[in-house]
Amino acid sequence: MELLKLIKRVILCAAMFSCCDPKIDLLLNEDIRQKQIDFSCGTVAFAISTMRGHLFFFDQAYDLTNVVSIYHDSLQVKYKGDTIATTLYDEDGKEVKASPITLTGQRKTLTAFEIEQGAGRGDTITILTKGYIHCLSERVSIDTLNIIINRDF
Amino acid sequence: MGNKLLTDGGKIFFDWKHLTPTYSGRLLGRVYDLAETPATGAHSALGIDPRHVSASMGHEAHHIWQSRSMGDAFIFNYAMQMINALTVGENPFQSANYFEAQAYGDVWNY
Repeated sequence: MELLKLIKRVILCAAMFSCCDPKIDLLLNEDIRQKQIDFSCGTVAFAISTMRGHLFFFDQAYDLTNVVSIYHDSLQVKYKGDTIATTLYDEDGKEVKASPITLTGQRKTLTAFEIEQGAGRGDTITILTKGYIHCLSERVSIDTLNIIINRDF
Repeated sequence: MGNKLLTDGGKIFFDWKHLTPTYSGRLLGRVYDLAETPATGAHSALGIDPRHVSASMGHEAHHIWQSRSMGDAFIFNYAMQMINALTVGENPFQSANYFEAQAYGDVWNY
């Protein structure tokens, strides 16, 4: 399987005359690739992936029936006791600095963060989401997300 | 490729910091998704969608400037680094590849 993935990347590399950097999907709370949360304004699906344990992509796909507010400055990523800085990107790849932002309908955002020294097997990254999403004026309850790295990169 | 992407609904934007166009989404995005690669860089930054391209730009910009500094020799040298890594049993896209080590190390602080 790993060999097949490697062959796919080599083919892409040759085809695009570019450099290939693999995206590796990680598990949230040890067992799920995608966590979906249903709330009164719609649904949101979370997924996380990494490029070699250095750069992490926290994907968020919203399907909303009402307006929600995203307080992305409330999102905290913890690694080995340190708080890691995050950057939010909108669907067009533009960095979003304002917080909160409002979303409606089907939208995608991405929170990226970087662990400079690289995370490895046995490490845990914690994403604290308290107050991240508000439906109308109600805070949406989202559990803390733990990413336990169970492989080397 | 850029024109094709525009006609099939792909996204293009220009990164002024590194003076490079970026392409993503639709057919190209599906190819990258299939290959499980968020973004690549050499002659320009390409990727699954604009979010992944922007988030990876600090890394991919290293490859773009590596390519610009070496010209046509870059792809050949990159391929040799891949072969070198494979011969010692390492992943060709990771730190045994000098160009990837440079990008993952963020040595140019992009």
